[in-house]
Amino acid sequence: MSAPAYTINELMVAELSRHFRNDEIGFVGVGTSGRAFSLVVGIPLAAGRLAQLTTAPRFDLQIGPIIGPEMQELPERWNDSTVYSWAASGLIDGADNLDMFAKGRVDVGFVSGAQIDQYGNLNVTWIKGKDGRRIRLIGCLALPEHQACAGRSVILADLHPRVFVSEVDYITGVGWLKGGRSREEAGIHIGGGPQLVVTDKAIFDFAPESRRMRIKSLHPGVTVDEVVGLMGFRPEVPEKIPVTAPPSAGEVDLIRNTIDPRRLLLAHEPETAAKKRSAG
Amino acid sequence: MRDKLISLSEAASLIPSGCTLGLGGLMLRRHPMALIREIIRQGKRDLTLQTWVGGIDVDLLVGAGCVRRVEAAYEGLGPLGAAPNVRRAAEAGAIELEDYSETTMISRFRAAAMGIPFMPTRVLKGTGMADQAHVRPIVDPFSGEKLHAVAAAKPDVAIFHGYWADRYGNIQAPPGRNSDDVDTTIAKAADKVIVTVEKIVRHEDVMRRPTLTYIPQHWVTAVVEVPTGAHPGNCDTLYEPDFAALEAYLAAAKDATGFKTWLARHVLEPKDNAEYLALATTPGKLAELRMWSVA
Repeated sequence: MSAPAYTINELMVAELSRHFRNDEIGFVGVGTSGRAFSLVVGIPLAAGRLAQLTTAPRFDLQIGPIIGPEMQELPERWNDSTVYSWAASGLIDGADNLDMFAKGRVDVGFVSGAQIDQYGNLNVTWIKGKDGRRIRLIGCLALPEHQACAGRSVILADLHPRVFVSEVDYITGVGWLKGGRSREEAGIHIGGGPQLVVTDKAIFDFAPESRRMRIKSLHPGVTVDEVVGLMGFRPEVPEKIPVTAPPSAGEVDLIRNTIDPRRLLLAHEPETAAKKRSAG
Repeated sequence: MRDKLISLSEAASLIPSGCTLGLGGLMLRRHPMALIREIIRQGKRDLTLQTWVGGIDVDLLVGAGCVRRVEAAYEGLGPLGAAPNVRRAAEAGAIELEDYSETTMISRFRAAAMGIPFMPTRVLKGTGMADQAHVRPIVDPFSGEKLHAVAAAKPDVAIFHGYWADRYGNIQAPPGRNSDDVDTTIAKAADKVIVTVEKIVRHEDVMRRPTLTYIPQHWVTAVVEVPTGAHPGNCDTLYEPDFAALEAYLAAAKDATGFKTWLARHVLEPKDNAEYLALATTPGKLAELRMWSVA
Protein backbone atom coordinates (compact mmCIF):
# COMPACT_ATOMS: atom_id res chain seq x y z
CA MET A 1 0.00 0.00 0.00
CA SER A 2 1.38 3.38 -0.86
CA ALA A 3 1.77 5.86 1.98
CA PRO A 4 -0.94 8.53 2.10
CA ALA A 5 0.10 11.94 0.85
CA TYR A 6 -0.31 13.45 4.31
CA THR A 7 0.20 12.55 7.95
CA ILE A 8 -2.51 12.45 10.62
CA ASN A 9 -1.06 15.62 12.16
CA GLU A 10 -1.29 17.39 8.80
CA LEU A 11 -4.91 16.28 8.45
CA MET A 12 -5.68 17.61 11.95
CA VAL A 13 -3.92 20.91 11.14
CA ALA A 14 -5.81 21.41 7.87
CA GLU A 15 -9.18 20.59 9.43
CA LEU A 16 -8.60 22.87 12.43
CA SER A 17 -7.48 25.74 10.20
CA ARG A 18 -10.89 25.75 8.52
CA HIS A 19 -12.53 26.79 11.81
CA PHE A 20 -10.63 30.08 12.20
CA ARG A 21 -11.96 33.47 11.14
CA ASN A 22 -10.41 36.87 10.49
CA ASP A 23 -9.93 39.09 13.55
CA GLU A 24 -10.21 36.24 16.01
CA ILE A 25 -7.57 35.65 18.69
CA GLY A 26 -6.42 32.08 19.25
CA PHE A 27 -4.72 31.37 22.57
CA VAL A 28 -2.11 28.61 22.80
CA GLY A 29 -0.64 27.55 26.15
CA VAL A 30 3.00 26.70 26.82
CA GLY A 31 4.15 24.07 29.31
CA THR A 32 3.82 20.62 27.76
CA SER A 33 6.03 18.03 26.10
CA GLY A 34 5.91 15.08 23.72
CA ARG A 35 2.64 14.20 22.01
CA ALA A 36 0.73 16.59 24.30
CA PHE A 37 2.90 19.41 22.95
CA SER A 38 2.02 18.55 19.36
CA LEU A 39 -1.68 18.32 20.29
CA VAL A 40 -2.21 21.57 22.20
CA VAL A 41 0.68 23.70 20.95
CA GLY A 42 2.02 22.40 17.63
CA ILE A 43 -1.21 21.59 15.80
CA PRO A 44 -3.03 24.80 16.84
CA LEU A 45 -0.03 26.97 15.90
CA ALA A 46 0.40 25.26 12.55
CA ALA A 47 -3.35 25.50 11.92
CA GLY A 48 -3.36 29.18 12.86
CA ARG A 49 -0.49 29.86 10.50
CA LEU A 50 -2.16 27.86 7.72
CA ALA A 51 -5.32 29.92 8.16
CA GLN A 52 -3.24 33.10 8.02
CA LEU A 53 -1.73 31.92 4.73
CA THR A 54 -5.03 30.82 3.20
CA THR A 55 -8.51 31.58 4.45
CA ALA A 56 -8.07 33.97 7.41
CA PRO A 57 -5.06 36.26 6.97
CA ARG A 58 -6.08 38.33 10.00
CA PHE A 59 -6.41 35.38 12.41
CA ASP A 60 -4.25 36.38 15.36
CA LEU A 61 -2.24 34.10 17.60
CA GLN A 62 -1.08 34.43 21.14
CA ILE A 63 1.22 31.96 22.93
CA GLY A 64 0.71 32.45 26.62
CA PRO A 65 1.79 36.08 27.16
CA ILE A 66 3.50 36.28 23.74
CA ILE A 67 1.31 38.43 21.52
CA GLY A 68 1.44 37.94 17.74
CA PRO A 69 4.65 35.86 17.44
CA GLU A 70 6.56 35.95 14.15
CA MET A 71 5.20 32.77 12.62
CA GLN A 72 7.50 33.06 9.61
CA GLU A 73 10.41 32.24 11.85
CA LEU A 74 9.83 29.66 14.57
CA PRO A 75 12.33 29.40 17.42
CA GLU A 76 15.14 26.91 16.89
CA ARG A 77 14.10 24.82 19.86
CA TRP A 78 11.17 25.03 22.23
CA ASN A 79 12.63 26.12 25.54
CA ASP A 80 12.39 29.05 27.88
CA SER A 81 14.95 31.36 26.33
CA THR A 82 14.18 30.58 22.67
CA VAL A 83 10.41 30.84 23.04
CA TYR A 84 10.52 33.95 25.18
CA SER A 85 12.99 35.75 22.92
CA TRP A 86 10.92 34.97 19.84
CA ALA A 87 10.17 38.03 17.72
CA ALA A 88 6.64 39.15 18.63
CA SER A 89 4.42 42.21 18.95
CA GLY A 90 4.59 41.94 22.70
CA LEU A 91 5.47 39.81 25.69
CA ILE A 92 3.19 41.01 28.44
CA ASP A 93 2.99 40.42 32.17
CA GLY A 94 1.55 37.02 33.12
CA ALA A 95 -1.32 38.47 35.14
CA ASP A 96 -2.25 41.06 32.48
CA ASN A 97 -2.41 38.27 29.98
CA LEU A 98 -4.75 36.15 32.07
CA ASP A 99 -6.98 39.10 32.97
CA MET A 100 -7.90 39.39 29.32
CA PHE A 101 -8.64 35.68 29.20
CA ALA A 102 -10.94 35.84 32.25
CA LYS A 103 -12.66 38.89 30.79
CA GLY A 104 -13.61 36.91 27.71
CA ARG A 105 -11.29 38.51 25.16
CA VAL A 106 -9.87 35.25 23.80
CA ASP A 107 -11.91 33.85 20.91
CA VAL A 108 -10.59 30.32 20.76
CA GLY A 109 -8.55 28.26 23.23
CA PHE A 110 -6.90 24.86 22.71
CA VAL A 111 -7.09 22.20 25.38
CA SER A 112 -6.65 18.53 26.12
CA GLY A 113 -6.94 16.30 29.17
CA ALA A 114 -5.92 13.05 30.79
CA GLN A 115 -9.67 12.44 30.86
CA ILE A 116 -12.27 13.95 28.53
CA ASP A 117 -15.91 13.09 29.04
CA GLN A 118 -18.99 12.93 26.85
CA TYR A 119 -19.88 16.54 27.75
CA GLY A 120 -16.41 17.90 27.09
CA ASN A 121 -15.46 18.26 30.76
CA LEU A 122 -11.69 17.89 31.16
CA ASN A 123 -9.51 16.54 33.94
CA VAL A 124 -5.79 17.19 34.46
CA THR A 125 -5.86 17.18 38.29
CA TRP A 126 -6.68 13.80 39.88
CA ILE A 127 -7.77 10.45 38.47
CA LYS A 128 -8.97 7.33 40.23
CA GLY A 129 -6.72 4.33 39.71
CA LYS A 130 -8.03 0.78 39.26
CA ASP A 131 -7.47 -0.10 42.93
CA GLY A 132 -9.20 3.06 44.14
CA ARG A 133 -5.91 4.91 44.66
CA ARG A 134 -5.88 8.48 43.49
CA ILE A 135 -3.34 9.37 40.84
CA ARG A 136 -2.05 12.92 40.89
CA LEU A 137 -1.64 14.81 37.64
CA ILE A 138 -0.36 18.36 37.12
CA GLY A 139 -2.95 20.61 38.78
CA CYS A 140 -4.94 23.04 36.66
CA LEU A 141 -2.89 25.66 34.80
CA ALA A 142 -5.27 27.83 32.77
CA LEU A 143 -7.51 24.96 31.71
CA PRO A 144 -10.44 26.38 33.74
CA GLU A 145 -10.08 29.72 31.94
CA HIS A 146 -9.91 28.08 28.50
CA GLN A 147 -13.07 26.10 29.16
CA ALA A 148 -15.08 28.76 31.02
CA CYS A 149 -13.95 32.01 29.38
CA ALA A 150 -12.74 31.47 25.80
CA GLY A 151 -15.28 32.30 23.09
CA ARG A 152 -15.02 28.61 22.27
CA SER A 153 -12.59 25.87 23.13
CA VAL A 154 -11.22 23.19 20.85
CA ILE A 155 -10.30 19.87 22.45
CA LEU A 156 -7.40 18.04 20.83
CA ALA A 157 -6.65 14.42 21.77
CA ASP A 158 -5.94 10.97 20.38
CA LEU A 159 -8.85 8.59 20.80
CA HIS A 160 -8.36 6.11 23.63
CA PRO A 161 -10.93 4.56 25.99
CA ARG A 162 -8.92 5.65 29.06
CA VAL A 163 -8.97 9.26 27.85
CA PHE A 164 -12.50 9.49 26.44
CA VAL A 165 -14.48 8.47 29.51
CA SER A 166 -18.18 8.66 30.32
CA GLU A 167 -17.57 10.94 33.31
CA VAL A 168 -14.32 12.59 34.42
CA ASP A 169 -13.12 11.84 37.96
CA TYR A 170 -12.51 15.56 38.58
CA ILE A 171 -13.62 18.60 36.60
CA THR A 172 -10.61 20.84 36.01
CA GLY A 173 -12.06 22.54 32.95
CA VAL A 174 -15.83 22.68 32.72
CA GLY A 175 -17.46 21.70 29.44
CA TRP A 176 -21.19 21.18 29.08
CA LEU A 177 -21.19 19.95 32.70
CA LYS A 178 -23.98 17.32 32.82
CA GLY A 179 -25.36 18.13 29.39
CA GLY A 180 -28.59 19.81 28.34
CA ARG A 181 -28.77 23.31 29.84
CA SER A 182 -26.72 22.45 32.94
CA ARG A 183 -23.80 24.72 31.92
CA GLU A 184 -26.07 27.74 31.52
CA GLU A 185 -27.97 26.87 34.71
CA ALA A 186 -24.68 26.79 36.63
CA GLY A 187 -24.20 30.40 35.53
CA ILE A 188 -21.26 29.71 33.22
CA HIS A 189 -21.76 32.26 30.52
CA ILE A 190 -18.56 34.18 29.81
CA GLY A 191 -17.32 31.83 27.13
CA GLY A 192 -18.98 29.58 24.60
CA GLY A 193 -17.68 26.24 25.91
CA PRO A 194 -16.17 23.37 23.94
CA GLN A 195 -17.40 23.34 20.35
CA LEU A 196 -15.05 21.03 18.51
CA VAL A 197 -13.03 17.90 19.29
CA VAL A 198 -10.18 17.18 16.91
CA THR A 199 -8.77 13.65 17.20
CA ASP A 200 -6.53 11.30 15.26
CA LYS A 201 -9.55 9.33 13.95
CA ALA A 202 -12.51 11.69 13.73
CA ILE A 203 -13.83 15.17 14.37
CA PHE A 204 -16.63 15.69 16.90
CA ASP A 205 -18.93 18.50 17.86
CA PHE A 206 -21.59 18.57 20.57
CA ALA A 207 -25.26 17.84 19.81
CA PRO A 208 -27.27 21.03 20.35
CA GLU A 209 -29.86 19.55 22.77
CA SER A 210 -28.05 16.88 24.74
CA ARG A 211 -24.65 18.61 24.50
CA ARG A 212 -23.14 15.16 24.14
CA MET A 213 -20.14 14.57 21.92
CA ARG A 214 -21.26 13.75 18.39
CA ILE A 215 -19.26 12.41 15.46
CA LYS A 216 -18.99 15.22 12.92
CA SER A 217 -16.71 13.55 10.39
CA LEU A 218 -14.57 10.44 10.11
CA HIS A 219 -11.03 10.65 8.83
CA PRO A 220 -10.47 8.86 5.49
CA GLY A 221 -10.59 5.07 5.97
CA VAL A 222 -11.87 5.19 9.56
CA THR A 223 -15.18 3.47 10.49
CA VAL A 224 -17.77 4.33 13.14
CA ASP A 225 -17.05 1.02 14.88
CA GLU A 226 -13.35 1.80 15.09
CA VAL A 227 -14.10 5.21 16.63
CA VAL A 228 -16.66 3.91 19.11
CA GLY A 229 -14.31 1.08 20.07
CA LEU A 230 -11.70 3.65 21.07
CA MET A 231 -14.04 5.54 23.40
CA GLY A 232 -15.24 4.77 26.92
CA PHE A 233 -18.73 6.01 26.03
CA ARG A 234 -20.87 5.88 22.93
CA PRO A 235 -20.90 9.27 21.25
CA GLU A 236 -23.91 10.46 19.29
CA VAL A 237 -23.71 8.85 15.87
CA PRO A 238 -25.67 10.64 13.12
CA GLU A 239 -27.07 8.57 10.27
CA LYS A 240 -24.94 10.26 7.67
CA ILE A 241 -21.36 11.11 8.56
CA PRO A 242 -19.09 12.84 6.06
CA VAL A 243 -15.41 12.07 5.62
CA THR A 244 -13.03 14.69 7.03
CA ALA A 245 -11.68 16.60 4.05
CA PRO A 246 -8.01 15.64 3.77
CA PRO A 247 -5.47 18.40 3.33
CA SER A 248 -4.93 19.50 -0.24
CA ALA A 249 -1.53 19.09 -1.89
CA GLY A 250 -1.11 22.85 -1.51
CA GLU A 251 -1.89 22.73 2.21
CA VAL A 252 0.53 19.84 2.77
CA ASP A 253 3.19 21.78 0.87
CA LEU A 254 2.61 24.87 3.04
CA ILE A 255 2.76 22.84 6.25
CA ARG A 256 5.93 20.98 5.28
CA ASN A 257 7.88 23.67 3.52
CA THR A 258 6.66 27.00 4.87
CA ILE A 259 4.98 26.56 8.24
CA ASP A 260 6.99 23.85 10.00
CA PRO A 261 9.96 22.93 7.83
CA ARG A 262 12.02 21.65 10.78
CA ARG A 263 9.12 19.64 12.24
CA LEU A 264 9.28 21.57 15.48
CA LEU A 265 5.50 21.83 15.83
CA LEU A 266 4.48 18.47 14.43
CA ALA A 267 7.33 16.31 15.76
CA HIS A 268 5.07 13.79 17.47
CA GLU A 269 2.44 11.87 15.49
CA PRO A 270 -0.27 9.91 17.35
CA GLU A 271 1.30 7.03 19.27
CA THR A 272 -0.75 4.32 17.61
CA ALA A 273 0.38 5.46 14.18
CA ALA A 274 4.01 5.53 15.32
CA LYS A 275 3.71 2.01 16.75
CA LYS A 276 2.13 0.75 13.55
CA ARG A 277 4.95 2.24 11.52
CA SER A 278 7.65 0.67 13.67
CA ALA A 279 5.86 -2.68 13.56
CA GLY A 280 5.40 -2.68 9.83
CA MET B 1 17.28 53.01 54.20
CA ARG B 2 18.38 49.94 56.08
CA ASP B 3 21.21 47.65 55.01
CA LYS B 4 19.36 44.39 54.23
CA LEU B 5 22.20 42.31 52.90
CA ILE B 6 22.45 39.06 54.87
CA SER B 7 23.82 35.55 54.35
CA LEU B 8 21.91 32.61 52.93
CA SER B 9 21.84 30.89 56.30
CA GLU B 10 20.57 34.06 58.03
CA ALA B 11 17.88 34.34 55.35
CA ALA B 12 16.66 30.78 55.88
CA SER B 13 16.57 31.37 59.65
CA LEU B 14 13.89 34.06 59.02
CA ILE B 15 11.56 31.30 57.83
CA PRO B 16 10.04 29.40 60.77
CA SER B 17 8.72 25.85 60.55
CA GLY B 18 4.95 25.84 60.20
CA CYS B 19 4.80 29.15 58.34
CA THR B 20 3.17 29.95 55.02
CA LEU B 21 5.90 30.40 52.44
CA GLY B 22 5.31 32.21 49.15
CA LEU B 23 7.47 31.18 46.19
CA GLY B 24 8.34 33.21 43.10
CA GLY B 25 9.33 32.06 39.63
CA LEU B 26 7.54 29.77 37.20
CA MET B 27 8.08 26.06 36.32
CA LEU B 28 11.87 25.97 35.86
CA ARG B 29 12.46 29.71 35.79
CA ARG B 30 13.91 31.98 38.46
CA HIS B 31 13.09 30.05 41.62
CA PRO B 32 15.27 30.83 44.68
CA MET B 33 16.79 27.34 44.60
CA ALA B 34 19.90 28.08 46.67
CA LEU B 35 17.74 29.47 49.47
CA ILE B 36 15.41 26.49 49.17
CA ARG B 37 18.40 24.15 49.61
CA GLU B 38 19.38 26.11 52.73
CA ILE B 39 15.80 25.89 54.09
CA ILE B 40 16.09 22.12 53.69
CA ARG B 41 19.51 22.05 55.40
CA GLN B 42 18.03 23.92 58.34
CA GLY B 43 15.35 21.23 58.69
CA LYS B 44 12.24 23.39 58.33
CA ARG B 45 9.00 21.42 58.58
CA ASP B 46 5.23 21.78 58.08
CA LEU B 47 5.46 24.61 55.56
CA THR B 48 2.41 25.68 53.59
CA LEU B 49 3.60 26.68 50.14
CA GLN B 50 1.71 29.28 48.14
CA THR B 51 2.83 29.88 44.58
CA TRP B 52 1.46 30.45 41.11
CA VAL B 53 2.96 27.92 38.70
CA GLY B 54 5.21 25.74 40.82
CA GLY B 55 8.09 23.66 39.54
CA ILE B 56 11.41 22.31 40.72
CA ASP B 57 11.15 24.56 43.81
CA VAL B 58 7.98 22.92 45.11
CA ASP B 59 9.12 19.44 44.15
CA LEU B 60 12.43 19.73 46.02
CA LEU B 61 10.83 21.11 49.20
CA VAL B 62 8.18 18.38 49.14
CA GLY B 63 10.77 15.66 48.45
CA ALA B 64 12.82 16.86 51.41
CA GLY B 65 9.83 16.51 53.73
CA CYS B 66 9.52 20.22 54.53
CA VAL B 67 5.95 20.64 53.33
CA ARG B 68 2.51 20.00 54.78
CA ARG B 69 0.42 21.68 52.13
CA VAL B 70 0.67 23.27 48.66
CA GLU B 71 -1.70 25.84 47.16
CA ALA B 72 -0.96 26.51 43.47
CA ALA B 73 -2.18 26.36 39.88
CA TYR B 74 0.40 23.75 38.87
CA GLU B 75 3.20 21.59 40.18
CA GLY B 76 5.35 20.17 37.41
CA LEU B 77 8.56 20.50 35.49
CA GLY B 78 7.12 21.97 32.30
CA PRO B 79 8.81 20.34 29.30
CA LEU B 80 10.23 17.58 31.56
CA GLY B 81 6.83 16.41 32.75
CA ALA B 82 5.38 15.69 36.19
CA ALA B 83 6.86 16.69 39.56
CA PRO B 84 7.82 13.25 40.94
CA ASN B 85 8.05 14.08 44.64
CA VAL B 86 4.81 16.08 44.67
CA ARG B 87 3.04 13.25 42.93
CA ARG B 88 4.37 10.60 45.32
CA ALA B 89 3.64 12.62 48.46
CA ALA B 90 0.16 13.64 47.27
CA GLU B 91 -0.82 10.09 46.37
CA ALA B 92 0.45 8.81 49.74
CA GLY B 93 -1.53 11.51 51.55
CA ALA B 94 1.69 12.93 53.01
CA ILE B 95 0.85 16.45 51.77
CA GLU B 96 -2.38 18.30 51.11
CA LEU B 97 -2.91 19.98 47.77
CA GLU B 98 -5.26 22.80 47.04
CA ASP B 99 -5.67 23.52 43.33
CA TYR B 100 -6.42 26.82 41.68
CA SER B 101 -6.65 27.96 38.10
CA GLU B 102 -4.06 30.49 36.99
CA THR B 103 -6.37 33.49 37.37
CA THR B 104 -7.84 32.39 40.69
CA MET B 105 -4.40 31.89 42.29
CA ILE B 106 -3.45 35.37 41.06
CA SER B 107 -6.72 36.67 42.54
CA ARG B 108 -5.78 35.19 45.91
CA PHE B 109 -2.43 36.99 45.89
CA ARG B 110 -4.03 40.20 44.62
CA ALA B 111 -6.51 40.20 47.49
CA ALA B 112 -3.66 39.97 49.99
CA ALA B 113 -1.69 42.60 48.09
CA MET B 114 -4.63 45.01 48.34
CA GLY B 115 -5.30 44.21 51.98
CA ILE B 116 -8.76 42.79 51.31
CA PRO B 117 -10.01 39.38 52.48
CA PHE B 118 -11.02 37.78 49.19
CA MET B 119 -11.60 38.29 45.49
CA PRO B 120 -14.66 37.23 43.52
CA THR B 121 -14.23 35.00 40.46
CA ARG B 122 -16.40 33.51 37.75
CA VAL B 123 -13.91 30.89 36.69
CA LEU B 124 -14.54 28.10 39.21
CA LYS B 125 -18.22 27.41 38.50
CA GLY B 126 -18.79 23.73 37.81
CA THR B 127 -15.21 22.73 38.65
CA GLY B 128 -13.79 20.47 41.34
CA MET B 129 -11.91 23.46 42.77
CA ALA B 130 -15.14 25.11 43.96
CA ASP B 131 -15.34 22.77 47.00
CA GLN B 132 -12.00 23.66 48.55
CA ALA B 133 -11.24 25.25 51.91
CA HIS B 134 -10.41 28.70 50.56
CA VAL B 135 -13.35 28.95 48.13
CA ARG B 136 -16.93 29.92 49.05
CA PRO B 137 -20.04 30.61 46.99
CA ILE B 138 -21.10 34.27 47.08
CA VAL B 139 -23.64 36.45 45.32
CA ASP B 140 -22.77 39.67 43.52
CA PRO B 141 -24.59 42.30 45.64
CA PHE B 142 -25.18 44.44 42.52
CA SER B 143 -26.40 41.96 39.90
CA GLY B 144 -27.31 38.89 41.95
CA GLU B 145 -24.93 36.73 39.89
CA LYS B 146 -23.63 33.64 41.67
CA LEU B 147 -19.86 33.80 42.01
CA HIS B 148 -17.11 32.27 44.11
CA ALA B 149 -14.93 34.08 46.61
CA VAL B 150 -11.31 32.97 46.82
CA ALA B 151 -9.57 33.82 50.09
CA ALA B 152 -6.55 36.11 50.17
CA ALA B 153 -3.23 34.22 50.00
CA LYS B 154 -0.94 36.09 52.34
CA PRO B 155 2.42 34.37 52.81
CA ASP B 156 4.21 34.96 56.12
CA VAL B 157 7.39 35.08 54.08
CA ALA B 158 7.80 35.06 50.29
CA ILE B 159 11.08 34.20 48.60
CA PHE B 160 12.29 35.09 45.11
CA HIS B 161 15.33 34.95 42.91
CA GLY B 162 16.19 38.17 41.08
CA TYR B 163 18.96 39.56 38.89
CA TRP B 164 20.79 42.24 40.84
CA ALA B 165 20.08 44.55 43.77
CA ASP B 166 21.68 47.07 46.06
CA ARG B 167 22.19 46.40 49.79
CA TYR B 168 18.90 48.18 50.53
CA GLY B 169 16.83 45.61 48.65
CA ASN B 170 16.02 47.36 45.40
CA ILE B 171 15.70 44.42 43.04
CA GLN B 172 16.37 45.19 39.39
CA ALA B 173 15.92 43.30 36.15
CA PRO B 174 17.28 43.77 32.66
CA PRO B 175 14.84 45.27 30.12
CA GLY B 176 14.53 41.84 28.47
CA ARG B 177 13.17 40.23 31.61
CA ASN B 178 10.46 37.69 30.97
CA SER B 179 7.50 39.03 32.93
CA ASP B 180 5.45 35.85 32.59
CA ASP B 181 5.38 35.40 36.35
CA VAL B 182 3.58 37.08 39.23
CA ASP B 183 6.60 37.82 41.43
CA THR B 184 5.64 41.43 42.09
CA THR B 185 2.10 40.46 43.11
CA ILE B 186 3.33 37.71 45.46
CA ALA B 187 5.90 40.14 46.91
CA LYS B 188 3.12 42.67 47.61
CA ALA B 189 0.95 39.95 49.17
CA ALA B 190 3.56 38.70 51.67
CA ASP B 191 4.38 39.99 55.17
CA LYS B 192 8.12 39.50 54.65
CA VAL B 193 10.06 39.34 51.40
CA ILE B 194 13.46 37.74 50.91
CA VAL B 195 15.17 38.00 47.54
CA THR B 196 18.31 36.19 46.43
CA VAL B 197 20.08 37.89 43.53
CA GLU B 198 22.88 37.02 41.15
CA LYS B 199 24.83 40.08 42.16
CA ILE B 200 24.85 42.93 44.69
CA VAL B 201 25.66 46.21 42.97
CA ARG B 202 26.38 49.73 44.24
CA HIS B 203 23.38 51.81 45.28
CA GLU B 204 24.47 54.46 42.74
CA ASP B 205 24.11 51.91 39.94
CA VAL B 206 20.52 51.25 40.95
CA MET B 207 19.79 54.98 41.30
CA ARG B 208 20.93 55.66 37.75
CA ARG B 209 18.28 53.35 36.25
CA PRO B 210 15.28 53.43 38.64
CA THR B 211 12.83 52.07 36.04
CA LEU B 212 14.59 48.70 36.19
CA THR B 213 13.48 48.18 39.80
CA TYR B 214 10.58 45.73 39.94
CA ILE B 215 10.67 44.85 43.66
CA PRO B 216 11.55 48.03 45.59
CA GLN B 217 13.24 48.43 48.97
CA HIS B 218 9.98 49.24 50.78
CA TRP B 219 8.70 45.73 50.18
CA VAL B 220 11.89 43.87 50.96
CA THR B 221 13.00 42.42 54.30
CA ALA B 222 16.33 40.92 53.25
CA VAL B 223 18.51 40.46 50.22
CA VAL B 224 21.18 37.79 49.64
CA GLU B 225 23.86 37.52 46.97
CA VAL B 226 23.88 34.01 45.43
CA PRO B 227 25.46 33.69 41.98
CA THR B 228 23.70 30.98 39.92
CA GLY B 229 21.13 30.84 42.70
CA ALA B 230 18.34 29.53 40.47
CA HIS B 231 20.24 26.40 39.39
CA PRO B 232 19.19 23.85 38.10
CA GLY B 233 16.48 26.16 36.80
CA ASN B 234 17.17 29.23 34.69
CA CYS B 235 17.46 32.93 35.30
CA ASP B 236 16.14 34.31 32.04
CA THR B 237 18.48 36.62 30.13
CA LEU B 238 21.44 35.35 32.26
CA TYR B 239 21.49 31.56 32.06
CA GLU B 240 19.49 28.66 30.66
CA PRO B 241 18.02 25.71 32.59
CA ASP B 242 20.61 22.99 33.22
CA PHE B 243 18.73 20.11 31.61
CA ALA B 244 21.50 17.59 32.42
CA ALA B 245 21.23 18.42 36.12
CA LEU B 246 17.43 18.37 35.93
CA GLU B 247 17.45 14.95 34.25
CA ALA B 248 19.78 13.67 36.98
CA TYR B 249 17.35 15.01 39.58
CA LEU B 250 14.41 13.31 37.86
CA ALA B 251 16.30 10.02 37.57
CA ALA B 252 17.11 10.12 41.30
CA ALA B 253 13.54 11.07 42.19
CA LYS B 254 12.01 8.02 40.50
CA ASP B 255 11.73 6.38 43.92
CA ALA B 256 11.85 7.71 47.47
CA THR B 257 15.03 5.85 48.42
CA GLY B 258 16.97 7.08 45.41
CA PHE B 259 15.84 10.59 46.12
CA LYS B 260 16.96 10.38 49.75
CA THR B 261 20.47 9.49 48.62
CA TRP B 262 20.50 12.29 46.04
CA LEU B 263 19.21 14.76 48.63
CA ALA B 264 21.90 13.85 51.17
CA ARG B 265 24.67 14.18 48.61
CA HIS B 266 23.48 17.31 46.75
CA VAL B 267 21.60 19.32 49.37
CA LEU B 268 22.36 18.26 52.93
CA GLU B 269 26.13 17.72 52.65
CA PRO B 270 27.25 20.81 50.65
CA LYS B 271 27.70 23.71 53.03
CA ASP B 272 26.85 26.42 50.50
CA ASN B 273 25.75 27.04 46.92
CA ALA B 274 29.29 26.90 45.54
CA GLU B 275 29.80 23.40 46.98
CA TYR B 276 26.41 22.36 45.62
CA LEU B 277 27.28 23.63 42.14
CA ALA B 278 30.59 21.77 42.21
CA LEU B 279 28.63 18.53 42.74
CA ALA B 280 25.65 19.17 40.49
CA THR B 281 27.42 20.53 37.42
CA THR B 282 30.77 21.72 36.07
CA PRO B 283 32.19 25.18 35.39
CA GLY B 284 32.32 24.27 31.69
CA LYS B 285 28.65 23.34 31.67
CA LEU B 286 27.70 26.55 33.51
CA ALA B 287 29.67 28.55 30.95
CA GLU B 288 27.70 26.85 28.17
CA LEU B 289 24.43 27.81 29.86
CA ARG B 290 25.41 31.49 30.10
CA MET B 291 23.50 33.87 27.85
CA TRP B 292 25.24 37.00 26.77
CA SER B 293 22.71 38.22 24.25
CA VAL B 294 20.79 40.56 26.54
CA ALA B 295 22.44 43.30 28.57
